[in-house]
Formats: sequence, C-alpha cells, structure tokens
Amino acid sequence: MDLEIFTVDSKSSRETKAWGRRLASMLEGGELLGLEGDLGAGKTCFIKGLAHGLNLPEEQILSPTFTMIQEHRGRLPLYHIDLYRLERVELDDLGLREYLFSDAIAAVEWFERLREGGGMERLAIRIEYAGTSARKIEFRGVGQRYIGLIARLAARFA
Amino acid sequence: MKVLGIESSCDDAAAAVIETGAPGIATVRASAVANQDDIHRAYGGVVPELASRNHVVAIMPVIARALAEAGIALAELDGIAVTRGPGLVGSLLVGLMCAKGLAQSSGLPMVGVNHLEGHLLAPLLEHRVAMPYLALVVSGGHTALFMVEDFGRYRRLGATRDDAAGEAFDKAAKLMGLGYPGGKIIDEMSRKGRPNGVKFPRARVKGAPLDFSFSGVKTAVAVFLASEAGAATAREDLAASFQEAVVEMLVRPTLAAAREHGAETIVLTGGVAANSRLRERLSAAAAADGRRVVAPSFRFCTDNAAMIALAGSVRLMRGERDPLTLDAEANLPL
Repeated sequence: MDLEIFTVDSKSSRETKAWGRRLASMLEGGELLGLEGDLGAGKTCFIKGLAHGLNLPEEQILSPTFTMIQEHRGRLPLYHIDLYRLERVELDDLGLREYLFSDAIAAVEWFERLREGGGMERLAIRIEYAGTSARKIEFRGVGQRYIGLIARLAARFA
Repeated sequence: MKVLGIESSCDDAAAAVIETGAPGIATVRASAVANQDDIHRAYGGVVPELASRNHVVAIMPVIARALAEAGIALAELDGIAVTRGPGLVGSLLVGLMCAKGLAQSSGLPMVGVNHLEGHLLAPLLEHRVAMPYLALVVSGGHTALFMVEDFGRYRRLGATRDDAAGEAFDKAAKLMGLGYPGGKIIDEMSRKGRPNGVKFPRARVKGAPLDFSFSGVKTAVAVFLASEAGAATAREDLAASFQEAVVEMLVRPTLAAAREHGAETIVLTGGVAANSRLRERLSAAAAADGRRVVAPSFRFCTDNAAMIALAGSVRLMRGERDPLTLDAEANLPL
C-alpha cells in the first residue's frame, strides 16, 4: 500500500537529527525536500542530521538564512536553501530553478514561500512544536517518487 | 594610490574610492551604498528585494556616484578591488563582472577580495590599530573570531555552529512581533527592560570554548512566548533578557580568545557591532582585563565597499593583480 503521510514523534533535537540521518540513508540524489515549520522548530537541526547521513560534518551546516543558498559535497551533493528572508519568491529568482531541479539533494527551508511550490513534486517535511523540546515531524509525499520514498522510510523505521 | 572598491556579496550594492599611501592607512574619498530608492528609481516601481537582478540595475549608478563624490575619474584610479566571495553567487557575479569590464576597458589592475577580510580590516579606515589584533565579526550572516596577524594572515579561532548573532536578533524580534530590523528595535526596547527579567539559557559549545551557538536561545524565546508566563511578560523585559543572553554569549568567548592569544586590542565589527549593549559590555569586560575595544563607525560596520578597497589596496600596492578569468566563490574560505 502506498503511504502518503508518515508522522513521527521526536522527543529532542537529537532525535530530530536522527530522523534526518535516517532519511539521508534512503536518498539517491535529485530529491527535493521542502521543509516547513515555525522559527526554532528544528528545520536546520533536521538538515544537520541529514548532512551527517551524507557523510558531511555537521558543524559545516549553518543556518543559511543570510546566504540563502549553501552548497555541500557529501556522499551526494546537498543544496541547503533558506527562503526565510523572502516574503514571496519565484523559481526564476536567485537561479532557484537550477538548484531545485538537479542531481543534487535540494533541502529548502521555508518552502511555503516559493510561489510555485504548492504543486511541485517533493517530500514535504513539516516540523511542529509539541512541547519544550518535543516535536512532531510529518513527512508527506507529493508525486509518485516521493510517495514511494515515504513508504520505504516508514517500512524501515516506523 | 587611488583604489575603487566594489561590493555586491549580498543585499547591498556598494562602491567606494579610497586613497592610500601605506598599507592599511587610507583616506575614504567616497563610500556609497545603493539603497532601495536607487533600485526603485531605476525600475520605476517597487521590486522584490534580494534578487541579483537588482544589483544589475544598481551597480553602475552606485559606482558613478562614488566616483562623482570623490571627484575622481576612472582614468585617475590606480586599481580596482572587488568582492569575490563568500556570498550569493548571483550577486557576487554582478560586481565581479562589472569590475572585470572596467579593468579590461581601462587597463587598470584588478584584485578579488574576500568579504570577511574587508570586515576584519574595516577599523583601519578610521583608526590606527597595531597588528596582531583579535576581531569579532558579528552580523546577520557571520559570527566569528579571527586573529589578524598581518595583511593576508588571518587565523580563525572560532565561529557559530548554527545561527549568526544578527540572525538571532532578527528572528527573536519576529517572534516577539517587533518588526524589522530586529537588532535595532531590540536594542532600543531593551533600554526600558530588565536584562534579568527572563532566564534564557547561555549556550556553550562542548569542547570548543571559542565557538558560538544561538539556535537554542531563539528556540527558548519561541517556547517561552508560547507559555503562560510568556504572555504575561512585558516585551521590554523579554527583549532586554534576550539581548543580555546573546551579548554574554558573544563576550565570553571573545575575552577567552583575547586572553589565550594575548591580544591587547579587540576589534568589534559587522552590523551587530552597532548594538549598544554589546559595545558597553565588551568594552567594560576588556577594560577590566587591561584590553581595549575598537569598533568602526556604523557605516563601516555594515557591508560597504571602502573596506573592500582597503583590503585590495594592500595587494595592489605590492604590484599584484588577478587575471580576468577570476571567478566568484560562494563559500570562499579565508
């Protein structure tokens, strides 16, 4: 059965990172990850775990709010993108199109600010507060490729 | 030697002309930063911020403005210095291509400069500071400690592991519903608040005492605001307490670095250097320790092209020049 949504509970930033690592182990390159969640929810924290899973040193992953795009070379190339400073952004701003549709993994924080984002095939990752350090992480697949990815993630780690 | 500086690593397009006789001793003849007005005027309307295409529109007018203010023609210059990284590639390329075009058409030598080197040398635009000195670069995009040993010799001692301090200010202000730019608003509100009103955690990075981390205090603000106590706390106390936490987390590693490396002078630079509490606490802590703090005036703390011209002039004076094949590098290390 195809699974569209897979939700997990995280008790700490450490566990949030662990989910990033787990997801990284399933990636092949060319995936688009759209992260959503309030300030301080743990989006960058999740990506630190993802980076670790791609054999990148975690301390290389800084908040890209200011630089907006950071490129990393791990097991697979990772584009870490942050749209926080942009109220409304379009694919052709900042050359985003090239970053989002490539052989690399594109992890985009504040994905909801991308005007054309809603209909794009992607793995949507929503992190919500569930207490001081507890969070709810929801993975949602948009498009067959990502529905399949979620099914494999759930089968392996649920 | 008269040098034109060009800077376009992030939001601001800037140009400056400096005149220098000896390495690191310069007079700023003009320093212009393109503001939104320039861009809106050129476009004839409001455009989305931050796109590199804004730089395309703004860069030539701002260079023309700097040259006009300095009263210097392009032909009278001795060289061009341009930021080549780190920053947004799309933005960097605009300044770099422009510098290459000017260098090729005028025959002037051109050198690429690391944006951070500009910040490290910025105090020299107004002060005589003997090297070596310790520099705390603290802005919306950077939070790092460097030992400035000589021109071209910089040793990174520590840096943030997550958010930059300026980013923490902006995001905390957003959480508190205070608007933008957060740093300035929090600074002003804090004067009416109690710095010990709310107990926020002071993060230390395990095993790396000269590194910084501001992600935790940002989350602490979000969690506190969502609590009952958060709703009942005066915004002034909240602002002052948050600022105090960030300032302490900046001052402690800076003093530790100064002691460890025997730096008598601490340079405070970058946009957050404008924060009055940071200046006050760092100066007091340094003075109590027999050290002094030097900070550039605000226009040279934030992104500007005079600091780029100064950093580039040192290499130009040695007769160095970069080839016109020079590329922009988003993650250019220092």
